[in-house]
Amino acid sequence: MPATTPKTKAELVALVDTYIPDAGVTPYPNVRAAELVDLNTKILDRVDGRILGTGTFVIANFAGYRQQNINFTSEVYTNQYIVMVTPVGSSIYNQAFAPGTQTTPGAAPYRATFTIANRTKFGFTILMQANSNATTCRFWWAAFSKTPL
Amino acid sequence: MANSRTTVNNIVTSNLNPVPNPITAQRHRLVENAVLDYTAGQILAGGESANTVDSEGADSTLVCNFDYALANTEYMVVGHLVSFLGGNGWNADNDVVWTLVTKTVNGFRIFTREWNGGYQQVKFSYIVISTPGINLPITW
Repeated sequence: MPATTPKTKAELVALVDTYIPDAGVTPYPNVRAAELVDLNTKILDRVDGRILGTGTFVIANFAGYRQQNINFTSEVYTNQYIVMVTPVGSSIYNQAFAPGTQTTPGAAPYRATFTIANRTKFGFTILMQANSNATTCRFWWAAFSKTPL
Repeated sequence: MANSRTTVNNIVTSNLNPVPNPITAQRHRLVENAVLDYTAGQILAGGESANTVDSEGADSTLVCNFDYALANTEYMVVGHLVSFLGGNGWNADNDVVWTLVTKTVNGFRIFTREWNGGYQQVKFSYIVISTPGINLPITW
């Protein structure tokens, strides 16, 4: 993920106009390889600038309150992001069915709430509260930048 | 599936380098296509479950099928339930929890459970995010 704020579309358009000028601008033609590389690199940075990170973690014997700290693999360019948490599987289901063979619901999945705290450019904390029987659960997470790119 | 950022970077720098070979139109097009593919490769799919959790039972399941098969299962799903009861039904549709249990190249399945009695009508709305090189596990 880019460590610096990706260029806006307007900034990239201005860069395109500068690097790839009209015939009336001298010297012409003036499309340099280094400038094309820079332009495409900045476009790719914009793409990378939306999804800041993804990951997964497991909580064993999840009942009651838990706090999960998540660290990005490297510093990201903003602390203005939202986090989506996806619960996947649970040990209760795996007790009822062999992994990979579940086709019908089993016992009650845990139920939990999520609140995100301590957002920095290095990571965040997921505050979790479960109201079901203790179970081992896996979660996926994804962080999305809120910066209008 | 799109290439990784490292691979695309290599495509850009190796093809847009006039030394030792000039930048041909073909190599330039190769670069632009690689960039476009990378852009498109972040979000692989998006949609909503065809069925609704539509009963007063405790447990149910929703299946989400993609419009086309993905290249592999190197993806994660983010989503949320959407209420369809309307009116005062919000008080029932907010009583559903869910967990994802299987994923394939053709789609995935979630299990749902109501933790308060009543009739619900919800669907699952989602996007699929590419995680190139990483097949996020469901079990442990």
